[in-house]
Amino acid sequence: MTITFHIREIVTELDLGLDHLPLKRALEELGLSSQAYLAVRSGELLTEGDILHTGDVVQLIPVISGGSQ
Amino acid sequence: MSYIRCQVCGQRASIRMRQHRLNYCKDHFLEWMLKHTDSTIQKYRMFGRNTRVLVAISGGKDSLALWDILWRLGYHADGFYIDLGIDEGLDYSSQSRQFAEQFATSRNLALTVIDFKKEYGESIPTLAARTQRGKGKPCSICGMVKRHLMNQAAEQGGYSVVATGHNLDDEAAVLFSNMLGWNQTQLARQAPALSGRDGMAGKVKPLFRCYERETAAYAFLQRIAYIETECPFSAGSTSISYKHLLNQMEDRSPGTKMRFVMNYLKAKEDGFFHIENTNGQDEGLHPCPVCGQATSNPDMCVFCRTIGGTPPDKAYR
Ligand SMILES: [Zn+2]
Ligand SMILES: [Zn+2]
Repeated sequence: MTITFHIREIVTELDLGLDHLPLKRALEELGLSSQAYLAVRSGELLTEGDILHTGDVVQLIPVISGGSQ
Repeated sequence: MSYIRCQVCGQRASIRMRQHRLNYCKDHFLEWMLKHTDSTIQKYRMFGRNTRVLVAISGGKDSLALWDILWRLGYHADGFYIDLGIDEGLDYSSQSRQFAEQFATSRNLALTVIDFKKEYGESIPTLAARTQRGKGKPCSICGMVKRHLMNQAAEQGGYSVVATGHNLDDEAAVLFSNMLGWNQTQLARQAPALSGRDGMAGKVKPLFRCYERETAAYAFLQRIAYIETECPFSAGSTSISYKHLLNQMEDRSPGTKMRFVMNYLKAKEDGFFHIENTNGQDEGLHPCPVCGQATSNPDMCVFCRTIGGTPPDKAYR
């Protein structure tokens, strides 16, 4: 009953005992800002309202970069 | 199925921009990004259809997204990439250079590449390590070198404007930093468009009204290959930690970042950050005897001093 998240080389599994939940809630559970990541499932960009299901594999792409002006 | 819908076509939305109250599918988001950027360019009088624009390319998502947008909008935009020689362990520079070159080739765009180490005999990390200014903080040297070489390339290539890929999160982080320190000079100066003057190209940031998440989404949806890893020296930088802080506030109160930057610009326009002798910064500028770029230093400009190997204790006063 898990959803798998890939953040670059890191793999995290989330199991809240639910068979589906919105992306927004999943990111909150992972302690991640929805501003700081793009979430992609099967090549499609997701919004925070999209529902994740057990067995889904979601790629989280960090968007923050830094440096000097 | 429950999902957020595109407000134009009703299909499943790929992006939700709560600060604008806009939800779009892939196609309508890409279209919106072009229109939004073009309206920024026009509203802030950044450049015109016939202006030759030099785009500062890092190989990252923002600069490549900007170049792609300007190209699609039909502007005359050429790229400029500086290979900084930051390759220890991570091949950061060689990889980002490959992304920049691939992008230019795939769209048949002109990209000028400067190999800093080849031209000046040492890489940025080596240069930073032996100078007072760069010790422990190579980003300062790196920023100075990039600004100098960009100005030089613009002048030599006949470009009147240099465009950079700074997004709203970049601007918010710099503004936050300047406010924490009440840095009056910088607070009076930060702007999306700075006009050029003799020997100095104008500087513009056409993506400054876009959230970082949006430029990343644009690059992803447009299938632009870019360097995802950070410059190894920027890891743990204060600008990144400010971005995380601002995002926490944004999550709780959508639009916070946008209001922070846009209301600052409004306040500045209203004279809130007015410094008395606005011409003061231009006075006392003279051409550097070595390279000719305008400098406020009594002798050579900072770049020429640094490259020339002036002893560290005398280099920066
Ligand atoms: Zn649509
Ligand atoms: Zn000089």
